[in-house]
Amino acid sequence: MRIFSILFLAVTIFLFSCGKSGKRSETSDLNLSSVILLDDAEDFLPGWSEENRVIMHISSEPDNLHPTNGNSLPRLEINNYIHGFILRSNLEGEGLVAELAEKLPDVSEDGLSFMYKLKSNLTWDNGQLLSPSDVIFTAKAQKCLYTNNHAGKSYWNKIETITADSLDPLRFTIRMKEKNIQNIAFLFSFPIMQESFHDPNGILRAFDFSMLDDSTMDKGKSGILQQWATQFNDDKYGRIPEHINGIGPYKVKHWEPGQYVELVRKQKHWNPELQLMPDKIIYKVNKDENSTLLEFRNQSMDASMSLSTGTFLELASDSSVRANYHLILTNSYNYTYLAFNMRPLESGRLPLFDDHSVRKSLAGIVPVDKLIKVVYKDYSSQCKRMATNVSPLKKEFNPYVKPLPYDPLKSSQQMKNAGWKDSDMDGVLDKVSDGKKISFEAELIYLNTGSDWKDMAMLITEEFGKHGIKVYPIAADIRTFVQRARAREFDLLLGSWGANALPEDFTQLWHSSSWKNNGSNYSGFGNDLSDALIDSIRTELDQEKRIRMVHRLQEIIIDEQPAVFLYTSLRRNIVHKRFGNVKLYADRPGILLNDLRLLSVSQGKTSP
Amino acid sequence: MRKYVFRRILFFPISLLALAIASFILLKAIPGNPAELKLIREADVSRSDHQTDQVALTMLEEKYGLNLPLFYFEVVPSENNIWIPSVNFHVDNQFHRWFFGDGFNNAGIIRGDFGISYATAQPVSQLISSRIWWSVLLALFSVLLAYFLSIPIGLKSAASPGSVFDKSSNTLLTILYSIPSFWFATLLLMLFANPEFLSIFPASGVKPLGGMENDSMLDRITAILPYLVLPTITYTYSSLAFISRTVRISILDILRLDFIQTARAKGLEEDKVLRRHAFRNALLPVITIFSGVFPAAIGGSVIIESIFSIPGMGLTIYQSIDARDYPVIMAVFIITGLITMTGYLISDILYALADPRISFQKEN
Repeated sequence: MRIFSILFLAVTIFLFSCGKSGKRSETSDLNLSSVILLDDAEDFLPGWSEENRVIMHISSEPDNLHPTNGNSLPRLEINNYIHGFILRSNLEGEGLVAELAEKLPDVSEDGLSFMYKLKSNLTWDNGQLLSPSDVIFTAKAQKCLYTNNHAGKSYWNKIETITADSLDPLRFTIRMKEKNIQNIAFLFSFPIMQESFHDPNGILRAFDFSMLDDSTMDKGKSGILQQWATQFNDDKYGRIPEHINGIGPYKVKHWEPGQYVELVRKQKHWNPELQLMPDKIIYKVNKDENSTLLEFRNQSMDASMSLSTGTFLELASDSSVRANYHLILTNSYNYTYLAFNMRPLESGRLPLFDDHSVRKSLAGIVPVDKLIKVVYKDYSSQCKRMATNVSPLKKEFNPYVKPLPYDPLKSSQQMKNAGWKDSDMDGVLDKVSDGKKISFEAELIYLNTGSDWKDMAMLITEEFGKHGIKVYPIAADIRTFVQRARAREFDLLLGSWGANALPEDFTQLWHSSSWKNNGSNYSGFGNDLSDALIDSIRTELDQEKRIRMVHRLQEIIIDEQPAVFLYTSLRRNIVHKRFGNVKLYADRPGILLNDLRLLSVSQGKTSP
Repeated sequence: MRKYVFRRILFFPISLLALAIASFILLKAIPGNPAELKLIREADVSRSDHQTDQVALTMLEEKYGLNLPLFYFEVVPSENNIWIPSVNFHVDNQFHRWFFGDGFNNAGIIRGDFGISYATAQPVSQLISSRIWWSVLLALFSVLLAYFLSIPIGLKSAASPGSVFDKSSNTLLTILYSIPSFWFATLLLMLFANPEFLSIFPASGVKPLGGMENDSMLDRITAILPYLVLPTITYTYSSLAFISRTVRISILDILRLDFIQTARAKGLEEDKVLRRHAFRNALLPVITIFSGVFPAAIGGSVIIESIFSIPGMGLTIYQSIDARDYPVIMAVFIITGLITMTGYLISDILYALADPRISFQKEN
């Protein structure tokens, strides 16, 4: 009986703690700025750790830390601190800022050549100076047919050549094959590698750029290249700390598989702010929401940008957590949408959404406010409604385009006008098309990765059901989801797109060629006018002209209504108050951990 | 006995081949092209301007051999006997490549090379060896704990069936057995890793941050043990009911037999009757359960490993299936198959040791 009593008590306590409600934390009002600087804590509380290390929560482990060969998000984030980049995204404003380069490049009149100059004092860990030969090596390694960076090759294949300046040892010019608005921007996500580390014998020097992606190269030469690439691709360069080499301020000290990756600050580095940075940055893996919640209650983690909404709300309602952490929602460039399959007959589906008046009328019964409420609950007012396919944070956003209002009555009338009626009184709209009677029954696919998606899919199903549209929600894991989306095996698709502050090439999402080649134009949107506009946007380097064209594209897209654009995603941030100088960005990665400064106990201010 | 063991071992490769073919076909039926998924950077899966290069896709499919047919053989009329056709096997197929290697990066499963993981680019054997120990360690701990607790409970219940102890232990263990492991694990976390109640165990992971390379073995064990307590309890609790009930029923069956009555009639104490005569004879079902422990360790438990952030096999398999990482999934199938067969062979041998009446010799 005693055992029973203990168990009962335990269960009661557990249930009680689960159902507990408390005052919500005060979070800052969101505006549309790309950065928010939080106030430092006034006092350094006695219970706070004085260790100058940041423990960052990640929900999945990086696939590896190889400078080129990998495709996971944590890898990109961690590599930010290990490696250096010619340019970086300007998180505090717009566009790009120079990192390893002195400034943004000088562009030639034809818009194809970009002249860069490296900063003069940049050294690798062995004391060697960073030089254009490292940049040339990096580009060649990325472009080489046999290196395993398959995801990034399409960007590097646009390079025609890179030449080092014969007069200035720090200057080099990148020549691109064709004009493109991303000819500069693509550099920001690829780290520069040290030639003497990865290619000590200078194998790649014998190959010029045109040879590197030539699959018809003779066997002798390709054999040499393959041999070098086999070495370069070796897993040790992405997993064993001694073999991970970068010009960034941190190096990998330890990687405990499935547990954590530990970075330590270098003793010597060219960055003048090195001594102010945290001694260590530890990325700790925890994919379970409950234990993540406890980790923060125990103060055994310092920061996260990837909390689930539920965990964030639970932590925000806990006063002891609020005393120790900043909890704040920030805007991001990502957005959620409900896409229609506009070309059903070409993808073997019923002709439900091929008529744009039907798509427009359905846009009027999507309960966007309720969907936002479902996801963000008490914080829903901080979430911005998306009007078009461009985030309202971007300067390309067209403020004159308004989303269609929620208007069920008008929508019902529009559906009748389009020929959809419940003629057999079975509660589902129907219509005769090509002599055949079809019922308005649609498959809605959504991701099974979180309860938010499911809740939204159920709400849409319910709301559409009230208007005679039978929806069959189908949850899919991300691989199946992408495959079905690309094969156009859906009628409705609930998904999200990510974006950043940089100029966007709309080809992949909205060009009709991207429908034909099974690209990411899932809806099938596109006509001659929009395609021409997208092609022009892609190559227009004059910003004002380009923005005008993007505005026009948004008007066309909203008129065609290939999707209902729902809301901008909010990033759920938590950062320990023992750190100051906390800046939260709209763009990825949301925070720069090396910017954090441990607040001293005595001064309650940023430590020197 | 030796002959029997030898004969069983001879059947291992045939069974493994059948398992490999069946699992290979099943695996390829899962939707999702690993090459296409590999090409999309995770950061770009939802990025609105990512680019998928068709040339790169073709190259990657060729590299993984995904452009080849699953199997490639032809059935042709035999020259000698028109009724019995002959089968010609060809090498350009995915199964052959996986089994015998590609002659370049992969030596093939037949030479013990499981290949390279699509997802992490690590050799599969290296990936599995870095993960399997946590699953084995936890499985071993939990089995030992389960047997340590269940056998005495089963014995005591069998000694006095219908007693208060028998009924109450039966009820409690049945309740435990009914609790889902994810709920129980979360309950333990909320009770024992929560500053609002008791914060005596870590909430996640298997070792402290910062590495333990310079620590002595004792220090390492001391540091790691607190991390293993809650996962071990979660692994163990549900098997308590099963093992103790199995022991109880087996002993009750044995206690009804004549030789037990004889032992009692000789005046042997009840405790000795139970331990010396009944218990040994009741061991067979318990041994059967034990044979399933090691395959279970390979499979791990996805839920428990996810909740406690244990880098074990369960989580690895789940992630591999999610990433359509065929080399890892196939390796796990083969290793699990091999260990399951070995487990059953060991349990057969243990049967013979536990009960001398069992013989694997053919009777004339």
